[in-house]
Amino acid sequence: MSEIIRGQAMELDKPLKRESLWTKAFKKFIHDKMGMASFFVVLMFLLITILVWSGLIAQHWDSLLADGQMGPNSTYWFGTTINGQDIFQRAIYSTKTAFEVGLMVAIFATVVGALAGAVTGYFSGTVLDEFILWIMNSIDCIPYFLMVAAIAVALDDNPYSMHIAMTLAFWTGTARVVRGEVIKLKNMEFVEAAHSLGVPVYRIIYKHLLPNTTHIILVDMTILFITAIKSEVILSFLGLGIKDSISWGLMISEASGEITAGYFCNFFAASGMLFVLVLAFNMFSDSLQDALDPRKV
Amino acid sequence: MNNLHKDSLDIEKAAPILTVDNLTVDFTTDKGTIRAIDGISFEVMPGETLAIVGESGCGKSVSSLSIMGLVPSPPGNIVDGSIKFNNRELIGLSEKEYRKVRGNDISMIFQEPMTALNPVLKISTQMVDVIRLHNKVSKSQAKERAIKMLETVGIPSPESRIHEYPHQLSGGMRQRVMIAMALSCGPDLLLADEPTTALDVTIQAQVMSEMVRLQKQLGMAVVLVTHDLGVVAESCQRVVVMYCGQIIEQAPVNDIFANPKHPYTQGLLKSIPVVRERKISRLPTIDGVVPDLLDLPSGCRFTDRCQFSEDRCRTNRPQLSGTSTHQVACFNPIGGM
Repeated sequence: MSEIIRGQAMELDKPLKRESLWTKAFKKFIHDKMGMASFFVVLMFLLITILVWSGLIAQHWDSLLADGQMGPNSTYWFGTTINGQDIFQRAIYSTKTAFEVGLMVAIFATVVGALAGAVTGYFSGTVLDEFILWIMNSIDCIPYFLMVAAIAVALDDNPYSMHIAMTLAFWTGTARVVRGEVIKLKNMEFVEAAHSLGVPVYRIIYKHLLPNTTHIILVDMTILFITAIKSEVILSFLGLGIKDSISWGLMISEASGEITAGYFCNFFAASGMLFVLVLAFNMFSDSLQDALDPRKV
Repeated sequence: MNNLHKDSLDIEKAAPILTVDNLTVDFTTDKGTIRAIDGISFEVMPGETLAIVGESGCGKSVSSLSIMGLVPSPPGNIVDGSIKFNNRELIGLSEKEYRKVRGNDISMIFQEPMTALNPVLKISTQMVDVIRLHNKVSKSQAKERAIKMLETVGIPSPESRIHEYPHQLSGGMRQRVMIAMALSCGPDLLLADEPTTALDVTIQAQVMSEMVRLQKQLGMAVVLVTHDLGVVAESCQRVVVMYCGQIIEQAPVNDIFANPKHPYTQGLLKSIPVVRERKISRLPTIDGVVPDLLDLPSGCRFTDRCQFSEDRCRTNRPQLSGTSTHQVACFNPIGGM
């Protein structure tokens, strides 16, 4: 009898087409037109960043090339600043600054946040959890402008003080999201099964719990990327951000004096680039969320 | 059936592989402390299949979790008793020592095959991980062993199946994978916590027959926690009946079915639907409900639902007594002792 049943089982269970969660998400994503369009815009910005990085374009952003306050023309597409610098080159070069801030903060804050979230989530209710939560709450109480100023002073004008401050300020958000998901996951049977097979706790956290939060972490990363770029603009405008370089925030800051005099080139170039990148990245982030969400078909 | 009985008698002579003695587990809740398990004692012989039966909330699952050292704490707390595996006391082992026991000496399979596998990892990753955790073997050796194990539990074309994700497998397949994983390090004792409850009936039969076959092949002992008496009749040698955290009857399987002593056991057996009965009448049930664990009667816990209960049942608690094979905790066992 059991042989017959086994025989039937073999016929019924022909191997399925191999499809991992990633290929599934990928397929969903490439069918999302808005997602793909925004993705290409983001890719373009990334390309610009790489070109700037490798020193191929916009290397003369700081040179005094022409008369000041020129309007847009064939040589200087976006016109020139009051000092005669090429606004187009400055705007392009700022892309690199923005990506630098966005990537660094997104990566470091997510790594710290995911680890802290996983640990607090796994040990939720214990003293360790309470302690880390208390640290997170304390950090959230400090306005990060203040934190940047404090860290900038503490680090003696280190060019990366802004990056460090933002990382320190933003990891708590990721940690909270991951913590919630881990609390949900740790009560599921596969975690209990892992326990029953003798898997040590640290392995359960990094092998069973964290991979199950990847979709959240990835989306959170894209959101952090945008937040960091927007914050950079605000901080640079306030004079707390980038030093010895150029960024959209600094350009807008410069423009604040020019606008009253009727010169808009600097302002429009910087905010236009910022607007396009943030919009595209937001749309990309939305589509990514849809693609990675296992509940959405 | 006769052969089974003979087997179980032979087993009696050997030393038990697992001895649970006076195990008591408390759970702290908002309303007070609940004694989920109240002084249970039983033994498991090598190569034997022991069934723990009882209704929901009677402490079956907590007993198996206690053996694994996985009672969630807080709120759970083992307050008394001992659990000896191969003459080694398990209660009080450090987490690190316990981890060496889990999966290697004692393994467990769970009720829900749908959620008992990590959804984002391939079967191969999960199995290789477990094998390498307890054995010093290379990745490829571990994978070979995993494939062999999958083949053993009856998974067709294991070489390709092993590269799949849990969501690509059916429920029965997943439970087989779970069993394969639990057995991959050759445990001496397998705890199966309602392994077939979440499966449909045909798959239940497949998985159970597979388990019985594997048990014979690998010679391990199995503790089967279930409320399905049909499964018990087919695959077990000895039965422990639990009610409200206590063992109320303990006997070889054919004794339990032919000659139940405790009124509760009898009630359980009566409420099994009989397929071949011509006239379908109302299925007999046990009257009343399980008493609140926060407010247990001082005497026998079944007394309110028992048709034979007397005054002394309400005040005194009956102890397990009887012959060496068949024990019952009742003042008025059916058919005498």
